[in-house]
Amino acid sequence: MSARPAIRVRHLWHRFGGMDVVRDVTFDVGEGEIFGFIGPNGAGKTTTIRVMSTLLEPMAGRVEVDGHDVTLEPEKVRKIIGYMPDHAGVYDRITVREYLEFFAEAYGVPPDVVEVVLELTDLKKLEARLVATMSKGMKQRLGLARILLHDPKILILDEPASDLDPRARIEIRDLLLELRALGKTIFLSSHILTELADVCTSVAILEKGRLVVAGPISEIAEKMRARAPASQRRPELGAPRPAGDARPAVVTAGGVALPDEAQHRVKVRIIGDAHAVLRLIVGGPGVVGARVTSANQLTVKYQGDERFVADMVRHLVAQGVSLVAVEPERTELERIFLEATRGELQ
Amino acid sequence: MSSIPRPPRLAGRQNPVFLRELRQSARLLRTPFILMTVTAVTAFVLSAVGGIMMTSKVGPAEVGRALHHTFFSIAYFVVSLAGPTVSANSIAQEREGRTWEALMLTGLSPSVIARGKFTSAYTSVAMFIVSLAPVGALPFLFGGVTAIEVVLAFVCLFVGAALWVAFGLAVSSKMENLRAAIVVTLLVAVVTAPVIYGVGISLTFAAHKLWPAVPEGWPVWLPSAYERAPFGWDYVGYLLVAPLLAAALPAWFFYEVTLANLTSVTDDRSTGIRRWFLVSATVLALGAAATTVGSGLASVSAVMLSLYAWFLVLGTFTFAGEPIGPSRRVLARWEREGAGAVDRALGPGVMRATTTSLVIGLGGVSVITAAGLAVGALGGSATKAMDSLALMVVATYTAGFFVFLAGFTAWLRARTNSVMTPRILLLVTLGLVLIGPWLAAAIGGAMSGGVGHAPLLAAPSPIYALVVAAEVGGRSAMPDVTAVIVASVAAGAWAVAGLVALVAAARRCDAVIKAYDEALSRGDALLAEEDAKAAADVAEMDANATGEADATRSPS
Repeated sequence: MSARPAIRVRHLWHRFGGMDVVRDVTFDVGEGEIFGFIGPNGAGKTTTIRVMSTLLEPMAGRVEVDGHDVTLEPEKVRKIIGYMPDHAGVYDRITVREYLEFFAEAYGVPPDVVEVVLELTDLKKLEARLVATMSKGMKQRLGLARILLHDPKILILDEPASDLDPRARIEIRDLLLELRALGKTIFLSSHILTELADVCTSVAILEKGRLVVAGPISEIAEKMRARAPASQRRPELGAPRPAGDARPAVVTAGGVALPDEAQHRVKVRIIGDAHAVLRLIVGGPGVVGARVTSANQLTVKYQGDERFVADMVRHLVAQGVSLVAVEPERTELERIFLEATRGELQ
Repeated sequence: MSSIPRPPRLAGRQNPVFLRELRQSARLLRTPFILMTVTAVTAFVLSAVGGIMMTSKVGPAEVGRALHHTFFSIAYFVVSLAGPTVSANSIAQEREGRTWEALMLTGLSPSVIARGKFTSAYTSVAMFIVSLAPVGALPFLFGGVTAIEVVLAFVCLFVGAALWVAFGLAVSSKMENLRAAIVVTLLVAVVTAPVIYGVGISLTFAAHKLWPAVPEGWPVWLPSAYERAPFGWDYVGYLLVAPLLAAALPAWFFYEVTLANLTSVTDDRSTGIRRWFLVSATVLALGAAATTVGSGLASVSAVMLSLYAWFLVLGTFTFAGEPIGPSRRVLARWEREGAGAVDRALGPGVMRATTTSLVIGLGGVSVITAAGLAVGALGGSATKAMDSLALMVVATYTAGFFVFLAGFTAWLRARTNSVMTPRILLLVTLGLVLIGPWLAAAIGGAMSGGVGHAPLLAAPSPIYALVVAAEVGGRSAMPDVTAVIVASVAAGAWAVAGLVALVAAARRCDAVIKAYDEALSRGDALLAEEDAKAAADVAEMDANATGEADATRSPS
């Protein structure tokens, strides 16, 4: 029998004024998962998250966090979760350390925890800096540090990378992966798919208050492929890694292992024989699979970030391949999103 | 080395909100400049007043007294404006700066947050008083006031500052927007502070009458009264108990309002305010009755009833924000904690609130009226009998109109989803009822070419009862019984209308609560059904898996 889900949302409804903003939403978030909550602006993501965080009471349905009903036991739920709202503010005229010490005191945790969290979130070197003078990315990092103080089992992050520059996004992503490695369940909402594609193990897609699809990315993709007409089905590039595969996992710049789901495709156009190039690529580090799509074009499925593409290009050029173009293909998540939603709000 | 044990209060956990706000305030660069400017301006004004007075032929003691009153008047207005402005910043800023949710989810209780916010805002305002203190010592150079008077005046200033800070905090706790919070508190402070100051001055005449040693017409009279009035029942009643209640009851109200606003909508936001109302209504009714008995005049009871009626109106406005009934969260907490009938009666719910306020309010009206009638009966003269009749008119009208207000408010709340709509409609209705009938009476009088019975048209206005009481009271014979009968009929009509509205509100609330309970039951049943199905599926899968394993192990 499967373990109890970390978060269980069942038939959740919520209404503001005369408008149903969340309608009969049901999904589970498994323990240790990085769960992506996707939907366009106004889809009802923040309302669902606020219910999960005990800030709103569901009008109908039930939400349980680690087995505790958010309506009936909000105090217990608050001890289990760390919630970072979107566009959360920070206190001015206070240093990073003072900020964390304040929240440590408020959570009732020993002050030495601040030291640990400063190290974990790489904020130690900024501890004496006034919060007001920090960049958005650093403030977001500080927000993450704040919600880690009481060592919550579940982190609920509402649009954590919105308004951040690419570097800050990558840093936040790496931090999330580190936290997952520490055993945290992470519930992450966003309307930016690339933000989630690298890290999520499961997703739920919300549109106009209704849940469109939910579950592990690979399962959803499989179901969608099965549902699609045979003529539109595309062959898989590579089988998922079998259990016990000893190959080293792909790691990010920060040395954090990416989950298997963080796979991407890239289209490679060349002058010459695509099959010859295929032989140069298959079996290389990070390559999950590859196939020839036309006489001078092939698609490569890989696990990792842009460094893989750079390495592959360098390798092919060194082997004398005449490269014309290298274009990223849509991620699995992007395809799922486009196929599952009607895009009425986007 | 053994450490020295600290006293328990100091060794206890410091309020983290207070410490954090103090740190932030310490880094605010403009504070010293503001304090310096206020102190310099006050010193300049005092010097100017002192200088002008020295040129006229008044003694140094007179100059000292004038400086004393000038200083504390300025300090009063500084505190009245700075207190609410500083505290209005606190919670609204958290909401606007989007730090509030993070603070709330730490598990700090609303009372800890409110106390931290209050203490930090109060510390800031106290800095104003402390920085002004050296200027306040200037009158000592001239005499005319004693050191005890100055110290007591500072104590009064600190108590007043606490009230203004508590008021600002209560407004701030309701507001989402910082600017709106500051504007609202400042507007109220700008209007209210001079009114309170004026009332204070007018009270000096009563104080002088009671204790001739207390100078007449000077604004800072309370410290003088403390020092100069002879100790006795009047001293205890008017200088100890009354000021204590005048400070404690509003402070408690502001505190409960702040807590309610800091508490989640689905939590219990009602019990604290209801407790405050219960205690305040009882204390005020007993105080009014004691004052009536002390004065020996039935007419004082009528005045007390009028003031008490305004308190009941405040209560009605407060309870217009009650939810229709307790939320699931509150019901679950009641079950968990085994809440008794009293706890539940004081809990959320518009009908609970209305019933409590009706019982307590009508009880208070009865107590004050009984005191007035007792005083009237002891006299036995015809004048006192007419005073008692006047009191009965006011009491009947107060009771009837209060039943209407309570019932009407409950009905409005039961019919609307918002908490502001019933309050606005109640305010409009109250305004119309108070003034409208008098306009009708004026038009009626003008149309009939004379006054005649046109004032009877004003009977629906509660002011009419006061007019009739003024007409009847103090006379030795009945002037015209028609006005008394009309006032009584109007009071009865208001009461009936209120009861009808109350019944309609109760039905509506019952229907809403029933529909909510049914929806919850349906939801629970659906979820239970799903759970049962999931459990059955798992059991079936387990059984299949066991069967397959057995088949694999089987020799065949």
